[in-house]
Amino acid sequence: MGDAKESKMSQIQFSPPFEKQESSVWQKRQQAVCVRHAFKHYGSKKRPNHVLSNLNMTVAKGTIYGLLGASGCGKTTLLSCIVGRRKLNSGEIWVLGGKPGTKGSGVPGKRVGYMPQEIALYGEFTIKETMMYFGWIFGMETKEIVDRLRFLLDFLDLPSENRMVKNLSGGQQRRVSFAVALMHDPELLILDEPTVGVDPLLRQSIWTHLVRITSSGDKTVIITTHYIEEARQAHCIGLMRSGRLLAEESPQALLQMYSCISLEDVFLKLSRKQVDQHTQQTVSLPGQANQVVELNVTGGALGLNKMSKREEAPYAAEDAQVVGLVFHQSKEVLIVDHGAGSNGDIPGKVTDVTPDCDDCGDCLNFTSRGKIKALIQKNFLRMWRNIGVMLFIFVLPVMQVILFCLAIGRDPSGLKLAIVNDDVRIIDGYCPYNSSCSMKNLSCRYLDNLNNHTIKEYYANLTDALKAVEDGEAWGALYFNENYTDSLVARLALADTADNETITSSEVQVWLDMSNQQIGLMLNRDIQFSYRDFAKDLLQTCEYNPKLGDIPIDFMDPIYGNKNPSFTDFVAPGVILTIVFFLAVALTSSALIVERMEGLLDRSWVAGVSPGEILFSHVVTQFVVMCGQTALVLIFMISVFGVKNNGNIVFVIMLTLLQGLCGMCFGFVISAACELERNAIQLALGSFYPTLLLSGVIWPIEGMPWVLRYVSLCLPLTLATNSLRSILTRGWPITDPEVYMGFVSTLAWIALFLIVTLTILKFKRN
Amino acid sequence: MAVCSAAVIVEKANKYYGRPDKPDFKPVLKDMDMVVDRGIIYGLLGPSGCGKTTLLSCIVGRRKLDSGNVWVLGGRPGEKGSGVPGPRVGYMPQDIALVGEFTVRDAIYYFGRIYGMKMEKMMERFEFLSNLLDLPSGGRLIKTLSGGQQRRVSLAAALVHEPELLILDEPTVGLDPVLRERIWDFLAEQARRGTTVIITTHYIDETKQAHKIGLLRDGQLLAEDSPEDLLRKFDCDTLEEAFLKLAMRQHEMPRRRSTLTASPDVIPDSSMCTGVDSRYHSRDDFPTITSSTDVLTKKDKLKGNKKLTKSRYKAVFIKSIQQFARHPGGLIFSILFPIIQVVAFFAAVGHDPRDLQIGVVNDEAAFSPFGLKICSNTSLVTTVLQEDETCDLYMLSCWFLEEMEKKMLFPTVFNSTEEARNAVATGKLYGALHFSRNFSSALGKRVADGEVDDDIVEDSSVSVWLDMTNHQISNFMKTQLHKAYESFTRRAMIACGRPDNLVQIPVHFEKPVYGKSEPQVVSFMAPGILITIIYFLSAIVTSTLMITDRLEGVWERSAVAGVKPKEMLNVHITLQSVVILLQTIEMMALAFIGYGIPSVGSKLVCGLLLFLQGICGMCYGFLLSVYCNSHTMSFFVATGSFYPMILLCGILWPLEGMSYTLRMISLTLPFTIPSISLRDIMEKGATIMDKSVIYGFLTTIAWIVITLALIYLRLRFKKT
Repeated sequence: MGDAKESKMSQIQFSPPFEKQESSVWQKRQQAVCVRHAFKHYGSKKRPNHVLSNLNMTVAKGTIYGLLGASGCGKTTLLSCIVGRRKLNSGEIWVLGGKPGTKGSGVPGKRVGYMPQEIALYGEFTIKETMMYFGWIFGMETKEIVDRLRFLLDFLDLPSENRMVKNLSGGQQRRVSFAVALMHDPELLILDEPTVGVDPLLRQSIWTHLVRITSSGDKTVIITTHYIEEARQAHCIGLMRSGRLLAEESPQALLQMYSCISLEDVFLKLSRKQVDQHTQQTVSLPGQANQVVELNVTGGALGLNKMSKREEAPYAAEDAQVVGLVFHQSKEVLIVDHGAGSNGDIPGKVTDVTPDCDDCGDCLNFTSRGKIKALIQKNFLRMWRNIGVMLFIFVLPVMQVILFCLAIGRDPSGLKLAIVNDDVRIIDGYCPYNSSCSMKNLSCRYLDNLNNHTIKEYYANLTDALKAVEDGEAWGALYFNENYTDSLVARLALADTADNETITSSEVQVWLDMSNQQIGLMLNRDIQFSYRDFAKDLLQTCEYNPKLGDIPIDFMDPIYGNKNPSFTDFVAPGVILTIVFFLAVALTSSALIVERMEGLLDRSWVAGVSPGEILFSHVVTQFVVMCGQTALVLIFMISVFGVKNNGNIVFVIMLTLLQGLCGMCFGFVISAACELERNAIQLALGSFYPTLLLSGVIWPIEGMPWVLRYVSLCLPLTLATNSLRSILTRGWPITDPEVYMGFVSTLAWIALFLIVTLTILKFKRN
Repeated sequence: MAVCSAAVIVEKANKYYGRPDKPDFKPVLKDMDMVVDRGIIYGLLGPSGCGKTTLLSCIVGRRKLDSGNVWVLGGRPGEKGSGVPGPRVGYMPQDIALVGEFTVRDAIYYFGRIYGMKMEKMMERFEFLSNLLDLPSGGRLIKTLSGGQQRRVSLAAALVHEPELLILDEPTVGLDPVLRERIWDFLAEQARRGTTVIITTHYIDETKQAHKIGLLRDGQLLAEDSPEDLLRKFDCDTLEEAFLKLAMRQHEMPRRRSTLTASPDVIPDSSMCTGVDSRYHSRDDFPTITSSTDVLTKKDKLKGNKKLTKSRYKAVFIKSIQQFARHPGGLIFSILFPIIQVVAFFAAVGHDPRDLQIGVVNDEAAFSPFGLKICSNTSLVTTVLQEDETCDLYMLSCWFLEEMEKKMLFPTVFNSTEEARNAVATGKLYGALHFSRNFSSALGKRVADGEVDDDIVEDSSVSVWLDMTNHQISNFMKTQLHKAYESFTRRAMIACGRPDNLVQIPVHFEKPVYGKSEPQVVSFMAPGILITIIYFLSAIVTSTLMITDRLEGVWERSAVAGVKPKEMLNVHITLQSVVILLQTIEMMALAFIGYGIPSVGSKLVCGLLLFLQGICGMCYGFLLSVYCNSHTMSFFVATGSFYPMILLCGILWPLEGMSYTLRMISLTLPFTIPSISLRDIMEKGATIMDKSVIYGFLTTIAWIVITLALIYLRLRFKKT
């Protein structure tokens, strides 16, 4: 490697100097990275927080560039601008001959390898799976990946490829992270503090490797580090402080220039100088401080790589004075050296801005499938490895359905009624009557009809019975007076000529406890119905028209449903949809946030995955999960618990799936909008109750005030619930407006949620 | 003896995570010895994962060693009276561990208050520290600061009370070199004044300024010496190289490692010292210490302790309030959400369906001379009382329809039953009814004669076709039709001078014992809804807050500053109780005043029960936060438990409709019985002396006790 550098050096000395004006576009493109007049600030325009201010940086190809500086000085921002994750407010960046983020530049993507500060790996993955994931994203063949994996395992002294990342020690995780960045042998390797907290032995081997890969000349490394001293091995170092480069020079040159023994001291000196200047600046013109930056030029290829030459570097002192000249010289060297490497960029094509990366055009088409495959496999693995999530996904819906069917909708049974019968003497709860056309003990005959849900308890007098109701021991009291049977017979016989007394004494008196609305109403209904049943039965046995005993309202066979509709059938459609909808919300709302917090999103992004692709992969994974959930929910509802389905099952399945998708998209909105996991959780949980109440799931929207009814119609679940109810209970086809409106509104919501998500993501990215 | 007056002594320390025979077993410290003399700066170096942070947390008493001894400032950390954890140590953890909602000033004052500092003193220190560390202006929120700034605030928080022992876990990571230099100068100055400083760092070279360096690798000290000696011994220019050499040596002979630490050339002086020190097993035998707390007499000390406890409470209170008040999301969630939920519930559920149209085919009117318009004739006389007390009936269907309209069912006229039924079949209407041509006269005959032929029965009946798919609506229509018929016959009978209940079903419903004769779903569901809302709100708020505190390390850091877990819990419980109280009042005001939910019983008892339920929910939140490590996990558990509990607790459907086993399960849930109690109070006016109400309170309290016991067990047996 020493030879290579040596030859470069000789070329530097002999190559003819260029004119300064020609430092134009194509020259910038010859550098691995070239940043010019970069400005970047966060926050509002009125109170901007300047992160980069007029920063210039040049990284020559085939070198190790050490970027040093305190945290918060803008290093990470600069790096993320270089890899195309963020955009500058003004200024320009050229990376590997193209502008990052533009089409065909290959950045972010295959041509860069990025190792973020955090581990940013999936804890639940084995080493091999991790490598596979990133390999596929970079569009590598599986065989190729395996070969590379062998090499990297060996090289970085990693344990068995089947160990989970989360079970590795901190240092090992870091090495895996490093291995991922090296995976596809990128042209530009960007390492954000790769050596923090790493064992000294490993640190040395990392640096050795970095030196080795750059020695071939076509690989470039940008490394940030806190260990200023270790940057001595870099070819060029940039000292960064509050958004500017204080110096950009080879370490040897720096040491000489400031006559210090350690880089640390150099940095300290430079920092002090900046502080002094800053105080001057407040008096004089702003922007003066840039002089420091302008003074220093790329030392890139000039720098001598070995520490042994630390003390020499004879032209270092000149560097500081002969500005433009050296700059161009080094450029020239690069052209000669890497002309072939950078796809035959001919110097004549100076003004031609379109980057020519033929191989990249290929890889763009080619990767998409690999990327999607990688992303989807990743999502599934994550879920699979997480038992809690698996339980949540598949056991919860089943449990909810089972509980729902068992707990809701059955008529209450075992309700106690206190009965006082003065008409017949009751002994031991036995109330005798004759089931033929006999007009005796009619009260007993009536009571016998009243048996489906109730337990009859006889009391001696009315006061006791009422006391029992008051104490909550019985739900109601019934009273038959002493000549009940006689007056009832008289009333039937006399018809409209019956006198008031007969009529009154032929009445059963009922006191109910109406504090529980469901039970109260049901008892009310039962008591009335059983009278009718009793009357019909009596009339029939005495060979009269049984309808005479009934009130003259004839409920025909209902057009839809049956005569005794069950509450379960009514609520079931809503319950199916809410279960699927909110499970999807729960699963997706934290997915993106967790990924973002762990730094994985960034890493995948730099690897060239677009937000759309990430969303798409989640949609696919979720969809598969949802199919399972839908199947479970529907099987349990319809087959096991016998909820009626009169319609086409295909549409039922389709609508349920669509609602799941809709819930998922809502989850995306939440996770895109919320910065913190806990906010997302609160939002998701908080939206659950109101939606359930307002969507007409447990109460029809016809019972809401006008305004609320329109609000309710605007909720994603309302129309869909209506539609599913129509399919299930009425058996309507898709052509019916009520049915297809459900589909239409669901689709509209999906579209709306997706648009909102993408807008938020896009907005946040800038 | 004087030689041994070390600030920190660690002897034969062993610490591992996981269980020895499990795959996750991970030894962290192996037979480690370490001695830190008073008044020096001790630099602890080593790669991450080597056990530095574990060692430090053992020193401050946050974790316990599996075997071995630690003495800090003469006492064992965690022991009573040792002052560790407490005001004698200043600890800066690796992560920021500050509440993001604090301003810079708040953060410093928070720790000042924990240590019981006076206001003027705190202000003075704050001025000093913000100059020294170049802190951003005091009013800025910590979460808006950059990483380096946050780190500086964190450092300032550890320095605020001028402790005897300073433990700084990587204080200079990512700081500006100028600032770093300043910090080191400051530390050197402090050491000269007698403060002991233990500092870990990644910049090996900056520890040149330390008095003593310990190189930690794989749970063992490779060397413990002054920087000059180390450089000399290994003949290197930089400490970096020395470390590399040592690491290589350890790497080459892993077998002999165990002897390395004991070898005299590495720690010659300390091995002698620890030998002497191991006699001291508690603070009382340790005579050398003369710290300020020692001088105080016991009584004073007790008083001081009390004062300190008070100031700690104050500190944690202020912290929690600020944390809560500055977090808009949480604030909205806990204050506005109950309102939204209650409003959503009362507005959406339980009201009778409105504007229901019903198809009417009125053949009686249609065949009359005036056609269908006859019904709109207000002067229409439908009953004529004859001399012989019989009654001529005419166009009774008009009356029926009028009554129906009063019952909120609006007729839509159709010409034939087919048309009307078609309209129902296509979903335009929920029902249709048909009056036959001679409805009135047939009805008259039916009533008068009692026994008539089938034709007349047929003619006198109103035929109804309903769409029974919407349970609530069809039930509503059925009841309304019945009621319409009832009032219609009453009207007709009165017009004919007959007893008004002649044609009624001879069942007379008296005024109900409890509730109204036309019960509302709202009042049935309201108690349960109120209880579930307050229960889950406090559960969620509590669990998120606690998990956030723990994840961000605030809890840990406060604990090192001497705040006991009990104190943290007490403060949280108190504050959360205030919030719950607010929520209770807010919800009750909305329900009783805003929506006029009738409540017969004492509002106070209602409020008390709701409040207790909120507390119960809070305990559930604690439970979640203790057993779940991440927000996602607690979220899953919360959602997973929320839905089944709602289904089972009898809000949506009475318990009596469930099978026996399920009913028993349901009764054991935390809010099934309480919601019955609440319903009893509101509807029946039950007092607190009633059995059902007492049960409600008992279950709530029982659940609070159970959850607290579970939390205690977990905290007790969780390995630290």
